[in-house]
Amino acid sequence: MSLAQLHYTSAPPGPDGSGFRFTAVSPGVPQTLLREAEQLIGYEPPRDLPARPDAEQLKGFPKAFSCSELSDGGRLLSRSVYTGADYSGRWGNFHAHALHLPPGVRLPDGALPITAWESPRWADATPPDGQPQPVDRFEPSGLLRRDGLVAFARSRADRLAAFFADLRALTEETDTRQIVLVEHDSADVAQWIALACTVLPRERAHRLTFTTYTRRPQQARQQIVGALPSSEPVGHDHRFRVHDCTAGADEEPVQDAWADVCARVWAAGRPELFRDSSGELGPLAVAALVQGIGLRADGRAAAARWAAEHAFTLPPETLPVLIAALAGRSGKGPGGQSTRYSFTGQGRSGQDTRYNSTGQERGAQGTRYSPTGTPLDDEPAALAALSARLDGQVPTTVSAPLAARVLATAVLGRGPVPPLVAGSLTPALRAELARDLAPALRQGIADATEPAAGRPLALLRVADLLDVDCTEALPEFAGRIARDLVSERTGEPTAEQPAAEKPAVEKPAVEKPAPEESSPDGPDVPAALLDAVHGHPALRTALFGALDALAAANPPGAAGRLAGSGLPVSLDSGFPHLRMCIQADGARRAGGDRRRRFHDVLRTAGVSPHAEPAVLRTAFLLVWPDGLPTGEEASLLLSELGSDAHRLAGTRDLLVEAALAAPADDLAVPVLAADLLRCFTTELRPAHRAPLLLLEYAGLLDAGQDVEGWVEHVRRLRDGAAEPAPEPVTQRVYDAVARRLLAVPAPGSEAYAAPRPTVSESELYALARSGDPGLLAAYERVARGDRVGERLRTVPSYVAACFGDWSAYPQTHPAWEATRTTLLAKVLRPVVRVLPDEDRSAVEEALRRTGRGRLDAYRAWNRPGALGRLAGRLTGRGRREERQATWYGDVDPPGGGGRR
Amino acid sequence: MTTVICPYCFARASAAKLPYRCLMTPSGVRGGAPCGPERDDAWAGFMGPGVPPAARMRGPVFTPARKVAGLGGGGSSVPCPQCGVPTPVRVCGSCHSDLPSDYCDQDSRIIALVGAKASGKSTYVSVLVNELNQRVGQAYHASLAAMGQSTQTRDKEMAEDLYERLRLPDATRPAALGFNDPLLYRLSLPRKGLLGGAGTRHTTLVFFDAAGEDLAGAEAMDRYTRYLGAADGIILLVDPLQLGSVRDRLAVHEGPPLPVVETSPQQIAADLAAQLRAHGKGRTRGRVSTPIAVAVTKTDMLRPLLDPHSPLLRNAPHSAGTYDGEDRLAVHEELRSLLTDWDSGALLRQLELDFAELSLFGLSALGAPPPADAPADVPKSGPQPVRVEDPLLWLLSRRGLLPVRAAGKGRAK
Repeated sequence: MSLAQLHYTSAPPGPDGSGFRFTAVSPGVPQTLLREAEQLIGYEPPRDLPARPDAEQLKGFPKAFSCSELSDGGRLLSRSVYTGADYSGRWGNFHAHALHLPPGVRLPDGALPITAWESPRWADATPPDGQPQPVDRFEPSGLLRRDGLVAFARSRADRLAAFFADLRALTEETDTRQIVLVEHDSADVAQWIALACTVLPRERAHRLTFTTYTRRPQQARQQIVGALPSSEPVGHDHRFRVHDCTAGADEEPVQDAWADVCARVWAAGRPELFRDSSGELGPLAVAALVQGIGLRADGRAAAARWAAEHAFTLPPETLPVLIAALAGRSGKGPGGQSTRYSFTGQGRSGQDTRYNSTGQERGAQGTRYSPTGTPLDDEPAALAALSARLDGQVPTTVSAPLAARVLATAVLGRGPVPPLVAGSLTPALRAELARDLAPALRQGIADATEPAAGRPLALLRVADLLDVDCTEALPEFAGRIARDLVSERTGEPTAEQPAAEKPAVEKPAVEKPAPEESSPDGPDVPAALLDAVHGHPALRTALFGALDALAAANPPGAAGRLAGSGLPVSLDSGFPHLRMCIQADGARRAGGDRRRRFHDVLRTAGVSPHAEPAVLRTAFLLVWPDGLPTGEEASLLLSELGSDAHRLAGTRDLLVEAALAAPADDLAVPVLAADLLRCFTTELRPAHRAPLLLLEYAGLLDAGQDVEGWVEHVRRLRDGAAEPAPEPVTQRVYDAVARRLLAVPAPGSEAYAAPRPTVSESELYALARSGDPGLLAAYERVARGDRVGERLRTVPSYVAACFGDWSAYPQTHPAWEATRTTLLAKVLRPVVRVLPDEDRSAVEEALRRTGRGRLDAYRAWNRPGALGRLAGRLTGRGRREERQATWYGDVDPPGGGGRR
Repeated sequence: MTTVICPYCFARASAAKLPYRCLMTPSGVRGGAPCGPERDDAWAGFMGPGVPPAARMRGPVFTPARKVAGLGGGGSSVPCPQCGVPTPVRVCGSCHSDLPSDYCDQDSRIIALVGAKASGKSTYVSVLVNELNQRVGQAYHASLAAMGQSTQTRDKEMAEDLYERLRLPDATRPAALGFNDPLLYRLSLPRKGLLGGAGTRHTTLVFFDAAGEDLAGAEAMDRYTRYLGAADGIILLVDPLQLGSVRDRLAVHEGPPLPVVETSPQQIAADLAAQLRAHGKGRTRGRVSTPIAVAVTKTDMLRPLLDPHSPLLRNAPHSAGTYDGEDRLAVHEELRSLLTDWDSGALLRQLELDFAELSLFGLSALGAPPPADAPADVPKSGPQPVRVEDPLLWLLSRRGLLPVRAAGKGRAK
């Protein structure tokens, strides 16, 4: 098939005009094509080159070699060169020779358009006969040979990646901005385009449009536009991405991994790797690694990911080489240097990836980690995934280097620790790793900045795998785990560190016994920790010991975190506090009274409180975590276990506090106080002794014991205490004194003191004289109580007695005077006013028996005032009061007073 | 109301109705995002096939809200409704070509330059611009400012070539190659009000430096039909060295070699008239209404054929800042006499029969022939133009843009 050709230049006048015009056109070319082609083949010489060049200088002018898309989908391949003066002597003439490629038609032999650069087939002048000679093939120029391109690529090595990144965005149409290449020579632009066509998939390379030179890039219509420094600048135009190769290269690293791999392949002089390239990163990265080309972390990650998917379809000889390259154990890098031991030294050929002292990889483009240790690229994860894919599927000698690399990266680079097993590594590699990783393992296990149950625990597992002795670190490590468990820091991955502590590759969980006493709402102890506790006796012993100590120190807190945790405490003996804490939740769920729960918890300890008194305190705090036992509970605890156990367990003060803090209506408290005073006679603190004595005395008063000097005794005990007595205690004893003075039974007591015992006047006088606010307040409170009121309404003699008490010792003390008059007015008068006449008479009779003076005083107190009397007359109250009150069983008198 | 003619597609529109293009610049306001580019199919369609996808993506075009008359000052920026950033760039409502920011602030006059290949059109425009800014500008107290980056760049390059490197411009590429933008200038002239107040009158001048190839035949000229149809005046450059009788009379051994014979001026005039008639510029009597200034160029080469006192050999006086009608008539008659003699007056007859308003001029852009050994160079003394401004000033005076001293009356009006 003969391709249509066009020649265009400024020619002398002829039959079809003069000046710029098509001077030779293949037959059959439509006018529309000529019109369209005319817009694509123009040429303007650079302004910085000689204005009147001679023939030799003309050769140095840039060549505009273009491949442009036509509106019909075809391509116009053209070459425009400057020819200086035209037939008329005017300068600015050029010659364009163009080839029309209809849609779907390619150059002979399927050659890429760029291969026709400076082919001898291009003409610098119109054919003499005006007829273009058919072109059957384009012999490539020497410029685009492999060695030349490799040399060119190496000379532009620092710009390759950025160019390829933009190229990919352009050809994938994710970013359609044109690429402008500024070079001093259009031949260099052609080489750029050759590099581009090499890395692109073949079909895309055929579709790529370009021009090697234009003075006005803004008017160029190709995807890649070559320009000279003297061309019109377009740097400010958003439509272009400019690669000015005459200026300094951009130092910013290129994010596109594919572009970086392409750049490295070209720089390594291995363009044949692009052959049959699909444009996919994975296979290209694999091929590059297999050929010993060092790649960036993201390139290696892509290779690993692709290899994980195609591991078993790769040629048999490729996989070991690839794994060696990924593991950094290939024999020679491209520079020929040894790469024996990459995970601690040479990470990849040609690049130093040694890790620094903090475990972070260094190197300009190496793996980077965030401050939290999260890898910014996924090379470790990709390598781990590949390692997991190969582990056990290929001979260990093949997969072990990668496993070792993954393990070393995880340990040294703070990456996720892979779940390797003993069979994943060869003995030699295991020994190497053990030797090299031991310090890092010990340091990592001891790293207090990490949640202990997270990465340090995983490192402990690695240490076990490598037989690295970490015994010395175990106690401290177990202590941190215990503290983390008891606090809320369990080491579970959090939102901020989603992958740091997770295994690189999920594997089936290690089979372990069913968790003990696991609770659905219990704390979520990491599975890895449970595995370690089950499989590592030394760790278990150390951990349980630390937890036991924490449980003894803070039983409620430990129980809250550990109850239902499933920690296998039954595997070993001992650790009574830990046992109680783990199982306290079960006892709590079982319900029942607290004393029984207390004994249940004590039983779980597995030791007698007499042999190990501390368990008594633990059990005490587990059953009463937030409060104190009642007086009865405390009393029973004291009597059942004996004072010695409480003394040794340190629960004595808890019992005392229970007595002192008990409410006033707790009837068992006085007995408890008496027991405490009896059991701990010499040990009680002065601050406790006086309140306990008060409680004991209150018990005596309420029991009606024959004691004297109540008021003074109470005041003496109270005022002689080292510290103010607790409010419930004073309240209780004041009430007891008041009740005794008023002769009413204590709350809860069955006895009802019907005949009021004779109250020693001296006791009441002592109260009146003391003016003690607490005692007087208690006296008034009790006098106003229901029990006193009930007795006043039903027992006239009690009314007489109370009147006698409350009218006694006037002016003795203002406080007593106030209390006394208040009681007369507010308590006694309302009762007396509604008493029936016979009760009134009984009251007066009782008072008369005590003396005429007291009766007169009563009548005077009870006589209504002037207003009261007047009101009584008006309302007839006095007359009605004189009527006999009717009772049940009475018979009404006959009507009319019985008169007929 | 200012009427604007798009210098690209020649669509006429009121300046107040022109849409704007957002420049996509950041607003600088916290949280404000600049506009992104949008497909401009109107512009791409005008530019023709092959516009790359990225080039189609341009700043969004929007029509601003109507302003109350008198409140919106001419040339003011309008905020983009999307990003709020003001933009001064107006675009043609038809082809969406960007117009220079001050292009729309005054009426525009399109001046078409027509001439055969190598008749000196590019040189003429460059020298004319320089003269308007120098000698002629001083006489009329006028100034000429290039508008737009394209015109400024071209002016700079042409001035470098002509005045510094002493090189004649390279051959102008045909418009089909897609290189030639219109040349836009703002001509500022003093204006006297009716009550004696002084002011300034601005006029946009649009020149098209067409390649000779574009005017070589009826078919080629067709591309310029709209351009010619929109022109307010035409300057037809006639290279006398293309006329046979002139070539015969000049001594072949003196000066640079004679140019290759291109399309004859008579043919160009005929094609031009035909195009203008087709575009509705013909009158009932069959003559074209568009004023045409026919300028015979390279008069320096005609010196042997001219009287030593010929007005063609000296510049017009422009005394008192007025256009001298009497001087124009003298030049016109001189050239009419010469053209009547050359080639039997065929060109003159053609022009007089086709154009209703015609004036003849003679000019030399360089003032002297190029060196004989370097015909593409400027004489070593540099350009010393003669009467290059006359055709343009005549066209402007016809529009009332210049004070004119009428012929035979000796007073300006």
